[in-house]
Amino acid sequence: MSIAKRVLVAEDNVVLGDVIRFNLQRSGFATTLARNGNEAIQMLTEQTFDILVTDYEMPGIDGEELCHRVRNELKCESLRIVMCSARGLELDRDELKVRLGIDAILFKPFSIRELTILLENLIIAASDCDPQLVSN
Amino acid sequence: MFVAHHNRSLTRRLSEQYLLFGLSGLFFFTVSAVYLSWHGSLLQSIPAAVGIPLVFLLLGSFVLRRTSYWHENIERQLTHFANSEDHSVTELRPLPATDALAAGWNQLLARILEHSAWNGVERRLSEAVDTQQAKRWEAVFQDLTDGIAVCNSDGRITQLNRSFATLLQRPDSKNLVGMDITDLLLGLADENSQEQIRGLGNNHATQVLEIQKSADPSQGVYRLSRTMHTGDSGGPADSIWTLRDVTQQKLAEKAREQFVFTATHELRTPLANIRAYSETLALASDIPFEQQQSFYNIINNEATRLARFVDELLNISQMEAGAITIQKHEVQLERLLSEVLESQRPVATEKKQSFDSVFAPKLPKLMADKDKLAAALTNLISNAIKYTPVGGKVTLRVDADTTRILFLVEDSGIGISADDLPKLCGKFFRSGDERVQAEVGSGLGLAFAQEVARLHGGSISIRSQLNQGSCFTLELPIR
Repeated sequence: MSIAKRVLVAEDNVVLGDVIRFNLQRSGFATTLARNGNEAIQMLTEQTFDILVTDYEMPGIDGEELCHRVRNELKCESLRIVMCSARGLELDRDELKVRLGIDAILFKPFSIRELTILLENLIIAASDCDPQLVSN
Repeated sequence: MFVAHHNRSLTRRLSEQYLLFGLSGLFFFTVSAVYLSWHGSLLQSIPAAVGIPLVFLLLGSFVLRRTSYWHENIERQLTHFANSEDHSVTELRPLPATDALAAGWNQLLARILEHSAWNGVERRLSEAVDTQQAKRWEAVFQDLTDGIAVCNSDGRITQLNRSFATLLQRPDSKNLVGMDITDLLLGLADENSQEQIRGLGNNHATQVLEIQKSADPSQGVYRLSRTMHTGDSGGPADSIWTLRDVTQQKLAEKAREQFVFTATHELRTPLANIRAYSETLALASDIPFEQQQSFYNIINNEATRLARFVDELLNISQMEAGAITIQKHEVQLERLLSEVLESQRPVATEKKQSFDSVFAPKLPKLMADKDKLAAALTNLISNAIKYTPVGGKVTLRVDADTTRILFLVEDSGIGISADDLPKLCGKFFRSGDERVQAEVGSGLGLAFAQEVARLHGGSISIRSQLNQGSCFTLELPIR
């Protein structure tokens, strides 16, 4: 039997982080919560995750910096990244996706259900090209 | 004698008198000649025979001269006038005679002199007015807040006003005349803007540029425009340059932009929570009752936060429009203060802060707008709690004397840097300090509190030391 898909949620808004974890766990994701960018980096170096869900604006290391480090310093190339942002049109979605290797960007207020479906699809897409990810 | 003839023309008068004297001379000559020759004494009496008619003729010529004297006078004056270089009417003289001709001439002359005197006055007046006008235009040109410079076709300054020199930070405005304007302007521009200035070329259309001193707009942003001006002669074109300091405008624009970002963020954050929790509650039917309750509470809290932010926005938009008004009534100060304190106590307790209040023994009666004052104090206290770490100390102290009342909000918080202190009360200002950025805030609360203080005839003063704490003092006059 495949192990639960491991998700790291980096969200400084405690209340929102809690409800994301609550829902993801119920959908079968092994969910870990980081309260800021520094904590997220720490966890990423210590453990392996399949998906990172990160806020864009966080104190200290923000979402953008976090993604940059994930790709360039931690070399987590197979990690799927979903970014959530309370910013709107001022963010250039396509540019961010390409530059930071982000799979999807959600704007707050987003639907928890949408997020869950998005993560499930990402896992399926990843398993199509890398069966190791879900079968080991 | 002349008066009698004044109705007849000069020619007629002259020919009549000429004929009269000529004929009478001839007549006397003939009569004397005949008479004398009759008596045979013609030869002896020749002197008398010639003399008498001659006397008549001389008399006649005298009378003729008298008749034409004034006409000649006028003719001479007119000839002189026509030949003189400046055609000055003041050289024309009135005639001393009293006949109609002289009266006519004199009247005419008086008219002309009067007219010319008026012309002179008019000319002097208009000259005076022109000089005045030119001076006024010069003063206006000098006093314009926009810098203006006029350059010749080589791009060298021929005229400039004070503002232009001031904007170039060259108070020696006279020394700038003759200098190359492009060289001067390059000093106001960073690399990017320098390129734009050099790229202006010789295009005749009006060009407008925004030049920046450095990447940081607070160092100076200027709006530069150049208009080509070809005079009536159609010669090489002058250029007129205007320079305006738009730094403050630019900064205000940036602050507003920043505010829109902040406001969007502030609105989206509670909305995101409300949506996430309500969706969770709607989708999952098997959540334990207690957890459901806590989810509902969270939704309620977030909605409250959203409502509060909307109120703040409304306050600010009222402030922007200058529409905040206050209704002063006698305020029951103890009650108001305890309401404010109790509303904030739970937040302080949550952060394990010591939250105290110290009031003067007898608080005076205060005339104020209860709601606005409560909102201002709440802002100050909630800021103190927000920017004071867990376990810190927040104190409200109220002092009064006979004329004023002081509300001092002291904290042992993160403090404010000397750089940020002067900007603190500006709308939308939020410090770049990480510890400030980590808290939610609109940058509007303090601006609102200050407006409330101002409307009451009071003020807010701030003392602070970075990492040590701050003290915000709201001072109000008692009446």
